Amino acid sequence: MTLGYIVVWISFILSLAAIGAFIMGGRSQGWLRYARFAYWGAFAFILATEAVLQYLLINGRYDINYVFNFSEKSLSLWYKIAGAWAGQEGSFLLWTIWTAFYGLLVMHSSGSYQRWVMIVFSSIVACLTGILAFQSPFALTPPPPENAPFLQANFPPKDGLGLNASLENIWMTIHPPIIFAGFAALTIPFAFAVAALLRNEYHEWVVRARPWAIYASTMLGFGLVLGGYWAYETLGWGGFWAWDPVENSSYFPWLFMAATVHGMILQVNRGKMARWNPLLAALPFLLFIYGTYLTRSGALAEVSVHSFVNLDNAALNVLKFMMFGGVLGVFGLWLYRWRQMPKPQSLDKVSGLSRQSAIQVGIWMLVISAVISLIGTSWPLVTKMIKGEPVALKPDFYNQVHAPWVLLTAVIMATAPFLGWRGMKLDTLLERLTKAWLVALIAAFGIYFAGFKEPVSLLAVTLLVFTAAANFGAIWRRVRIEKIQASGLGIVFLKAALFTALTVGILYGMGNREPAQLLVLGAIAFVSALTLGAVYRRIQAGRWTAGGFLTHMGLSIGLIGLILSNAYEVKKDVIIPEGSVINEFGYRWRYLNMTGDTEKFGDPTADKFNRVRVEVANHEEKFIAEPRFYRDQRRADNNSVVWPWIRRWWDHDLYVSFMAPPQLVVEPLRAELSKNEQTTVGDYTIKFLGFRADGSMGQDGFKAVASVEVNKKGWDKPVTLEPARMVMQQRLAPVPARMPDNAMLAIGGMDVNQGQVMLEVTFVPGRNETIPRLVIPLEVYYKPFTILVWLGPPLALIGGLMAAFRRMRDGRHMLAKVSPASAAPAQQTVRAGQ
Amino acid sequence: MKPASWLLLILIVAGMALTVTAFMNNLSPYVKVSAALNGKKNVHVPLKPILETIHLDIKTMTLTFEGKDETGTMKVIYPKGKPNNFEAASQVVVVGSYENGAFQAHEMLVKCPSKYQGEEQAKR
Repeated sequence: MTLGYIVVWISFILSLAAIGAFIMGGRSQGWLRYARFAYWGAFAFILATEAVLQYLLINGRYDINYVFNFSEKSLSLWYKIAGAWAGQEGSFLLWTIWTAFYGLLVMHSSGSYQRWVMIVFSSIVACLTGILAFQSPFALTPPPPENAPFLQANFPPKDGLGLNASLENIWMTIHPPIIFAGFAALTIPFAFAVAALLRNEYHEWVVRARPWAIYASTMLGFGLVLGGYWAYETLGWGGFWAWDPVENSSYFPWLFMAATVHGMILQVNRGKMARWNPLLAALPFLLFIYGTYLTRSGALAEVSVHSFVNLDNAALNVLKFMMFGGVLGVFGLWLYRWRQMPKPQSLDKVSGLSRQSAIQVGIWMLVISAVISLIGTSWPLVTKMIKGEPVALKPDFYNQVHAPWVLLTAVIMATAPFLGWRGMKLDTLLERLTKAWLVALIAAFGIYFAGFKEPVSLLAVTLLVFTAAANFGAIWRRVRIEKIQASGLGIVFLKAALFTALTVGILYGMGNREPAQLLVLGAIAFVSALTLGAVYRRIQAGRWTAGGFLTHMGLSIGLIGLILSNAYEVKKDVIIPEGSVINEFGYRWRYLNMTGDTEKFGDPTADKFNRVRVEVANHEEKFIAEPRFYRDQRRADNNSVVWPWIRRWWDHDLYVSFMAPPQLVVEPLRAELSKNEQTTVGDYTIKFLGFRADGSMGQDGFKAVASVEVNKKGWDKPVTLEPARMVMQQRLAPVPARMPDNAMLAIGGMDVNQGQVMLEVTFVPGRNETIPRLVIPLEVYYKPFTILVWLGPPLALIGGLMAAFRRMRDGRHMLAKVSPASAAPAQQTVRAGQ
Repeated sequence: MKPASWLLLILIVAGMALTVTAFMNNLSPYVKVSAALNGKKNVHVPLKPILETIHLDIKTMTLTFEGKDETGTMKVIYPKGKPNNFEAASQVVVVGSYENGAFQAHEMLVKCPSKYQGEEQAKR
């Protein structure tokens, strides 16, 4: 037992103790004090676990398997630290730390909910530390097999395998901590929801959990975006998002969390969704566990490209227990409580279009996308279980389904801020406005699919229909409604429409002519403009409610960037043979050299810092593109690792990556001959005289020699050459012969029994293709407006944090106001529950 | 029914139709070589490349090779060059359809590829 094991086990036992003590906490304050103490203790020992792991990483204890696999001496301190979340065990630990930390925050701020929430929290922390106890980051490096004396001599290892090369960049230090902050935050709404169901209380919990739900969706969303940045910056396939199982399994929990946030808003403001919110709030955490199971257990290993790592059996069982126990428990409890939960209250009559119905539709949209992604991601597993053979689903599926989804969601996000909650006075007008908007959309689709695809007309018609409809609505509205709040609306809509028209016009002018995409982008521009207007009005009104709108705006801007950079991307293969100049993208491309250290590594691509330098020039400018290419030879899979090189302009990126590894290629002159046969290839006349053996058969150094007579125009007389194949380490290595003109003659293949030989002539003067040379197969992307992908999400992050803060403050006011009334029955419930 | 309800109904039906169509169009089952040869379109075929047949056209970076499994052998054409660990691969999965005498692969998954390693490593 090493220190690491002991520390993990203590935290596991303390979290078990915390569960027990919190359960007993109903009896007396004393138990609660013990419980809090135990929980603090568990947290402290989880931190200690991380500290031990960091100590081992920093001090290079390569006898520990985790350290051996994810670190090495030459790494900088920063990446040694980051190694703590490079692998399976370490990232579980990161997840555990964040979860336990949130538990502390919640423990000291959840009032009457403390005990119930903490029972749930301690249980989850116990499960996670339990997984860590079995899937330990402290396991020893296994000794090498006995038939590997060289490895035996170097055991225990003096150095590690190092961080996987594609992880060794700045994103590695940012992305995992943030996305796990998001993953772990899913636990908080889950814990409150379960606690609410246990307590049979359906009001207070929402007020308490709401800011956390907003926080969780914000952090997880931002973590997802960072993952996209990482992919774009370092993986070299030219995009941000690929609908990969690993990505999807964090995407659908996020969608459900976003749906939960909106469900909670509806409940607090309108008394709606009270019965659904406990389920909605619990689902993201459960789905994340499911996602973890999918991506870490090897369940998808057969159908995925990825080498998913298998979990230790006991750890896997703990995970399965969390998954099945959680799902069955939550659904069972929720169904059991269904009849006791408050029926939806109707505060006042809501008819037609209102913010309430807009949010309801929004929740549906989020849930639909989540369910589709969930089914899609699970499909290989499901079909494998049913039919025995997995059926994969291509990523195009998600793009196709989400195209109309984005349109609809955009409309909802655009209109919701302008709708009143009641929808009474605005009812008719907004309904008409929406109809107009829908009419415009349907008209556009109708025209497009009717085959009338001439873009200018289509666009003009669409925008005219919409502008007319919006104007009509705005004017109508101004006529009917006196309040100032309303008076700005028509103008804002007008401005937004104008902005949309302008944006689409510019896009069209820039050569983006695909109507369906212009339509989507127009819709998104419209959302952003409307949201900006709404935010501006809120701030003017001195209200702190802009957060939500800012989030929506950031999201739409980010989406515009994603769609533009993806739909209008231009991708070209730029295959550059050494010494040639290739014209592509309006540039001349010329390979210069590789920067890898040949003296130290032999092959430049074996150097981790190898850059492939390519000169790119046109009449205006000249620069050097330096994508990195590295073959990681220390790992069994002999992976090639690519870092793209990106040149950014304000309106587009030039993204230089590799289509395939750089390769040495040659096209020799070939002659296939039998004994005494003669042929002419190029300027050479070649005659095969026969084989001769040299040395003892089969031993290293044994040579099969071919006697060949060669002549060429301009030579005085034919020469006899003896190219050979020599046995070296059980392989036949070619031993070429040099001709008088410095061309090389080699045996490409031979059949000694039949007396046949295939001769190859390389380095032929005047024939460049016969000179072996490096070919650099680049893949170059022109990606417009990626800047928006970088601009939008930070806005969404700020907006989300603003909203979380505001709801936290509001929540305190609400609880303070209603506490005498609501706290009392809550206390009774606690007692009744014992 | 009110017009709004009709609209909603139409939207829902259209959405479902679209989803189901997209779903069916993008399914790509894992099949054996024999099934691919028999003309089953849009499939994933796990197979083993036969080393002697591997050929790379440098000008276009088109890789051609023959791959086999226990049910048969077929020619595969892949237009995106030769992956680094291709020769060493015990198995590759080619994605595409058998057309014009060869399997036209638009995607090829080599066991332990590089593309998503970063993502995958971090999250596992």
